[in-house]
Amino acid sequence: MAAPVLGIDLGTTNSLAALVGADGKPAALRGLDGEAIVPSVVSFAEGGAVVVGRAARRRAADDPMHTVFSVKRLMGKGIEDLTEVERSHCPYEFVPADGSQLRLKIRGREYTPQEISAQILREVVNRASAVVGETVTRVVITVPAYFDESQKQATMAAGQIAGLQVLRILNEPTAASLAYGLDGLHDGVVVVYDLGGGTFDVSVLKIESGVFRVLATNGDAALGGDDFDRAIAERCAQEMRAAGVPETALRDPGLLQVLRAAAERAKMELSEKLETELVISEDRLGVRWRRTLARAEFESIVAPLIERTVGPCRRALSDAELEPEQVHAVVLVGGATYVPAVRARVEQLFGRKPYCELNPMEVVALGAAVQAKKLEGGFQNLLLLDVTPLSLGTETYGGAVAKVIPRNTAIPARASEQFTTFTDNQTAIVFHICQGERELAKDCRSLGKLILRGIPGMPAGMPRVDVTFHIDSDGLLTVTAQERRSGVKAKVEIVPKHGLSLDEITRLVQEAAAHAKEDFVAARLATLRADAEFVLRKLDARVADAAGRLDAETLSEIQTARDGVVDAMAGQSPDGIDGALHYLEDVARPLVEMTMNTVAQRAVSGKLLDEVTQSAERTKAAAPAHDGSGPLSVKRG
Amino acid sequence: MAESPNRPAHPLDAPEAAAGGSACGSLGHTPAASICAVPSRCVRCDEPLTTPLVCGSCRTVFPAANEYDHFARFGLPRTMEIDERDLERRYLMLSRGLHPDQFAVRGTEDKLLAEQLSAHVNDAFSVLKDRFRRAEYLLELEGGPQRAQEKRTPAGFLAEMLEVNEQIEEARGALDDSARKQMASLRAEITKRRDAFLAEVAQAFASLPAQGDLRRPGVLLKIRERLNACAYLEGLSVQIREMLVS
Repeated sequence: MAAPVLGIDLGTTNSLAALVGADGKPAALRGLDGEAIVPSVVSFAEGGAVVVGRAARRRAADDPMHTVFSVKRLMGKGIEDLTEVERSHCPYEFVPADGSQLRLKIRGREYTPQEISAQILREVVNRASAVVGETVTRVVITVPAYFDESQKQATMAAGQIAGLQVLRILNEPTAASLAYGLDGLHDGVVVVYDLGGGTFDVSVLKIESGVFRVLATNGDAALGGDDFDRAIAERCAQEMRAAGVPETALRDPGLLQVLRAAAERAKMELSEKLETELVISEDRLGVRWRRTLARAEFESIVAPLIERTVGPCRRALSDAELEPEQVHAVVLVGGATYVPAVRARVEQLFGRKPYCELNPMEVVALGAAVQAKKLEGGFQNLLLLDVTPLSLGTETYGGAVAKVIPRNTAIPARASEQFTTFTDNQTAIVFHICQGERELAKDCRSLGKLILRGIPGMPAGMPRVDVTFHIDSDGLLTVTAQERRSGVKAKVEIVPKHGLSLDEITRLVQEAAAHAKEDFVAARLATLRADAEFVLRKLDARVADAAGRLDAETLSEIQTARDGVVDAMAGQSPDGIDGALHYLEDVARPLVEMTMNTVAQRAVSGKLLDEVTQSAERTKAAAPAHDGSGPLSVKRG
Repeated sequence: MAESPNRPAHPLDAPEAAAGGSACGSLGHTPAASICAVPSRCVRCDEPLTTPLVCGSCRTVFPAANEYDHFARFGLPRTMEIDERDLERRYLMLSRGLHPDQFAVRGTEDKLLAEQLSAHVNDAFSVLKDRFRRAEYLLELEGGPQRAQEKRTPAGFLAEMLEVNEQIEEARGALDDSARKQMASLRAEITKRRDAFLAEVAQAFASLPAQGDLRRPGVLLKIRERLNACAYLEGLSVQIREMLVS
């Protein structure tokens, strides 16, 4: 039997996969290391190796120029689409500066965001294949409902570059509703409020005996928990500046990463506690800074961001022609919905307590798994009817947009409009396809152009051209144009201005396949080296901390094991490093236990809160997106 | 030279009207004086058909969506009087039968057909569920004047709207709580007005004189005028809605 179809949540900050098990219930797939979540981080090590996930995130502070975060925000975009803030927070170089799909220049090579996303997908799929015991090739990938055409196309391309057959591009809030539906949510009107790492979606659905019908969707494709982190980091940077930290240090990419990570940690802690501490310590730059952050202050910093989700909620309800009282349930999705202030705002807006029984970090992947099962022929009684989030149309003479398919139209959708020529003997017509709610083409998203040539010479206004838009069940658009009198035809599958052409995708797929094996070994080597560096740094700090309290025999054993790791790191064998690390971990156990106890005591007495205790605490709390890197946790490649 | 397109000032004809000539409702409804070209039983399992596109019992798909108008696709007669619950039920039934996801494990050809047919069904549903769009569509099928050709509204309507427009502009200038409340009730008023026009339209359709009857063009014009007023009111309603949401 063929390998199962995998449901993948390709998130801004985290990605994960899920499958429907033998019990008919979806479950997140945990890798051999026990982790379900793969941070959506890609780091390019020296020598061309690519590191993905947790190991890449660890490299971020040391190698910020070659470590890419939040690539999802760049999908299907040109440089002109990025906000000043987004640009200033990306330390890497963008090419080109003109209107086509932007690329990142890293270690002298250019990468499209699609390729970088493909690396994340590959990592997720490889981990899943190892667990399933078969090579997964078919997937369902989720996207924010409010993604535009070029962003959805870019996601499809990322899947293809990763060598995958993408059976469906599925909207995230819709996926979440499927998971909840299977979990026993009753029939009725459901609102899904999905605030992820980098995107916000709100969908209004009607669930009725197994049919999940989306009535309206709205959102903001550039708003998420990342922005909360940024707001905190920005506030800290201002204060550090005021405290005399030099400008050069504040612009240091490594420091910015440290600051970002500290801000993220503070945000998560404040979901559980009323106060936390931010500690920024970079000896390299001579920066030592700390401040406490109370939940109330955090809430005032992020309040404007939370408020930005209110408009889309109102518009979605209004488009669905419903009042808040007619909603039966509100469901929370996405890591940022752990923030109590977000929950409180949602509760106030809809006048009811939101549901969050299913893990908001996993629920989208669970829904993707349900749809994946459906596309394998399972769940015959379950059906998803989705909509297109943004209006589609074509520019008419004078720059206005004639809407052909309005927003919230059920897909698959098909609609035609008639057009004619503007001047006598005009032999060609350009149809500029636009997406968005604004009246003028220049204010909408330009998706591309379709040119109908060979129209026989006729007086202006005589030709009759039918332009037909078809949106398929993935939400992807095809446009055809036909002149009725002459039968001249033209057809395009819209290749967005910021997208990749079929040729480009084919080339990238071939390149990826050609390098698959060497890439795999190199990547594993780079991942393990990064892990080893991390482990050694932690170990050295511990040895210093435990000075004098450790017996000489253990200490010398540790030293020998440490040397073994350093030797293995210089070699070319991934298994060599892996083995050496395992040995070191065994030998160092007494040391780890000793320092853990010390740290825990100190934390209790309120003197210090360091990274170790924080991650230890967060492992037990149901906190979002934690790093999971315990004291000596190593991903076994 | 290639240039941007222009919208034709007068749509040539109504494609659905041309195609839908022979089709009409079936099942449970037998509209007077019409020839039913829609099959009433499945050719494969002989069970009764609710719609001519797919058999509810054996799931056979009949790829003839282009031949039917929106009413026929839903197995309904050409009428303004549609029960919304019934329409929704039919929509869900059609979707269960025709959505591409239901063809996941079948061949590519079937899937493509399903894409086409469900697009037609979705289009039909969006027209039929909205009373205004349903009326516009019905008027098109009956060969009435289109909005681009006939822009008149009922006597006195526009004069009355001048005042409403003034109220909206005033509220836009100073949108405080009391203005918001006032706008919300104005919007409710507008909806009521629109519903009243639509009720008149429905009545006019119900007693529409037959083809060839000299009174027919007058009734169609009367419907046109009322639908023009509805479109105008809808525009105002959207304006207020946008204002209140922002």
